[in-house]
Amino acid sequence: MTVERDPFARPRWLVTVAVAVPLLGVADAVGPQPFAALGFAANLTVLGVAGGRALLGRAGLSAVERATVALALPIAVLVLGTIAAAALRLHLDRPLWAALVALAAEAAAVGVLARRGQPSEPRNRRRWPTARPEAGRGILWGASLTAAGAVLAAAVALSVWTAGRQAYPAFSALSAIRVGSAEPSVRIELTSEEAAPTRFIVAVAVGSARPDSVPLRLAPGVTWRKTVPAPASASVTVVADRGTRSRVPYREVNLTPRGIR
Amino acid sequence: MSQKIAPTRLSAASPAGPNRPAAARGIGLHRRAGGDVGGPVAFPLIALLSSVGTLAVAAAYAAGRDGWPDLSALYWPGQLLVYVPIALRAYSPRLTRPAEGFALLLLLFVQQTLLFRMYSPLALKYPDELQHWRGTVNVIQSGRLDQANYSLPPAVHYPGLEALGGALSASTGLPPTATAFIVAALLHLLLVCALYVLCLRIRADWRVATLACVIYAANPHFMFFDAMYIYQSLALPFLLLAVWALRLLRLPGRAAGRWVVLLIAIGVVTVSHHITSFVMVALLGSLAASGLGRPRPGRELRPVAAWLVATAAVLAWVLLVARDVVGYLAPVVAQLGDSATGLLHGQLGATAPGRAPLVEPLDERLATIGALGMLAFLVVRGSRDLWPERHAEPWTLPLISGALLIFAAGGLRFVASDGAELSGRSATFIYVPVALVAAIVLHDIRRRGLDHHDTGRRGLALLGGATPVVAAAVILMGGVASGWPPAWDRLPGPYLAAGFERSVDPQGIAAAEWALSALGPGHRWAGDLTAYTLLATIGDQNTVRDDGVLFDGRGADAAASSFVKREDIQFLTVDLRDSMRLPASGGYFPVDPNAGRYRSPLPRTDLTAPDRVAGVSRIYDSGDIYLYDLRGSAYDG
Repeated sequence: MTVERDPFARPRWLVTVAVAVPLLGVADAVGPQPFAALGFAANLTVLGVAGGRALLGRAGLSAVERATVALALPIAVLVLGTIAAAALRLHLDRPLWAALVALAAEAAAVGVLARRGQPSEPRNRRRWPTARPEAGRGILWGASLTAAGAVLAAAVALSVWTAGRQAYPAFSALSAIRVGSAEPSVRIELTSEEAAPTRFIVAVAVGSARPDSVPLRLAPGVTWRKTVPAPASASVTVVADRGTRSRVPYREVNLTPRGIR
Repeated sequence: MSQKIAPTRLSAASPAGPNRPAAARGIGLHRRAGGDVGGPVAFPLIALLSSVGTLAVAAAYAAGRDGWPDLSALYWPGQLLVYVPIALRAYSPRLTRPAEGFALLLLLFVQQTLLFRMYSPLALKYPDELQHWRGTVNVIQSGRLDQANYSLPPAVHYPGLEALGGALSASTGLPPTATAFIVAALLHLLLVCALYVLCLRIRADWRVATLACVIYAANPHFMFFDAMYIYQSLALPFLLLAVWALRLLRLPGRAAGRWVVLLIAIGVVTVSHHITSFVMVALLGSLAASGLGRPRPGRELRPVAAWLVATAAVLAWVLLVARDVVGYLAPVVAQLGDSATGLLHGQLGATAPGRAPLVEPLDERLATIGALGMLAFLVVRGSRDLWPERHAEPWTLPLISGALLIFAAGGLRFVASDGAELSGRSATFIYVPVALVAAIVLHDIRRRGLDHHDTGRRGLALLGGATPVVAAAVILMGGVASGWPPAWDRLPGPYLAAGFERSVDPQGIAAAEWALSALGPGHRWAGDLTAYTLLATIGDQNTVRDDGVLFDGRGADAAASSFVKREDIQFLTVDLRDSMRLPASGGYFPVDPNAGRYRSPLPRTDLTAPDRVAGVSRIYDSGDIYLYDLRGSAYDG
């Protein structure tokens, strides 16, 4: 066993972290994105690394174990802290989560700082030998890994591209619902998800009155809305025809009179 | 990086030391002419090979989406190309560095995560993920954890994942869908790390730990279900970390910190997922019992304390917070009871009412049986090898017992109704000891193979070289074939009726979004399986399950009216595509008495029967999907 050079044993470094954590917390709570996200991520990192160190030390733990704790601790603090906050009837929002993470990270940093006066922990002498290319094989390593990355990027790009342009049947949706009680009316919507800009004729019939027709041209993804006065006792029928003149109804909705069966 | 693990391992079946390079003796014997796969150059080549496998699966997915049948055949070669080289390297005596072993696991994690996400890289489509997406959106929008989640009511009382997702989304500004992608990947990575460190801590041999993780990665649900944004994905790694922390307590010093880690892990499991929390109580109970069963000087009381804490926490949570979980799980328990009763009466694998039997292609069924048989063989042999160690190491018996549960999981497939799903779900837990015991045996087999390799019999050597390839392929194929998605759902593609993620399309999503924006959340809806999922998740509506009576074409007859009044149904959704296609999953409705018995699609006149019922308003029409307002109609009379 040897006594290692330990960055956690340097007071200046630790004090810097302990001072930075609240500042990062403030950035997280009230700062604009992406500074808020960066502050959040930084404090989570401090929480994971310092928290694991404060709780478990590093003697006897492998690198993977320390990394696992550094990943698990922030998750656990967010889960348990959020549930505790909800139990205290606190409103869950960004400032609360920023404060929670900052407090936990600060506690972890202080925890490590508090242990600093104690003798440095011994560390296993054995290091984890990493695989390195033999002399002259570096190019093969680099080329293989670069090719692997390129192939993976191609796989992801292919998936994203084909998923983005996957063809689904085009459609348009017509709807009508009654709204308002003092001045009863019907809210009509027609959303086009056709493949191209499409002409519609929407005919609205309230009770036995003559249908009122509205010609439209909707681009894909656009919704046309109209509110029509209609007493609750009157039936309402809305028909949408595709094209420039009425043929077979393309979409049809109807509202029966309220209170009449 | 240090790698020394405190000597708390099970006394090895192998005489090789924990860090002794097993290849040292045999490496010269195995070196092939001109080959250098044993050198450190192997890792980049394996990375390249497995990436080509991922590209092949991506091409198969693209073929599914765009209808290129020839390319869809690349799915299985791609899957095998991802897994087999990594598995072979993990088994190889030339794997001499723990860093490379762990790098292989990270490589496998990256590849399998991509295989999972590339199915639907731009949106969440899996119904289970959509359920938790809804819960996360509720947390972000309301700032509370107690908002009703109609798509998965128990999730409100196990809000760990929603708390995590909500915190990350609100703090980073990422949309909930992107947050779900990232959180699910992080939790899957944590699962790999937790399994590795647990195996390392139990066995103190990085080769065994590496191999165990590779074997576990072939379990039926690892690649898809366990990688989803669902509450079990959060609880599972913390279950493993709880056991790991318990194991750490054997080390001298720092007991308080380890207890804190243990309690945190128990806490996260308790508030995150019901089944995992019950498994945690059972697992810690078995470890406590094994510790108590030892003679007094070596008796271990810490597992007992951990078990008591876990039991108290889970009981308190179930009794005080998650009181509805008993009702939620009761149908599954009843189903198991019915299966047991049926078994006593000679009915093998009778299908539960409302569920369709699983139909697997013959080759996939054979692969499933082959994988199960192979693992069962390894488990039996491993149990025999480990049995003598039971006195020296108290965790030996729980390890063997857990591994032998593979027979129960295998039997469940054939005995229980809906057994394939239950078996797959249980594999998530059972495969942990199975993988570890199998890895111990494989490590031993490989070591003995090295000892007896220089016999000069090339035929046998070739056969011995082919065996691991075939075994890895069969284990992977069996796992994928018996997991999720099923064969008909394995590639993305056009809309399927009642096809889970294959039924999630823009038209259904648009209807669900309209229901939420126009009507508000929480209305009672009846509909088919797809509507049940989309309305409850994207639409935030309160959907009912066993509503087939509204689709029999009889309109507002007595049965339908009674059902509507009893369930307080306000709206009905109809998908006319149910009249054009048979249900891919076997049933049109979440609980369908005719599941698996449909010979023709539902008649269109049956589906449009509400149009002929007095007082029913058709409030939405998108061509295939009609939404009806039943309030004040003859249904509601």
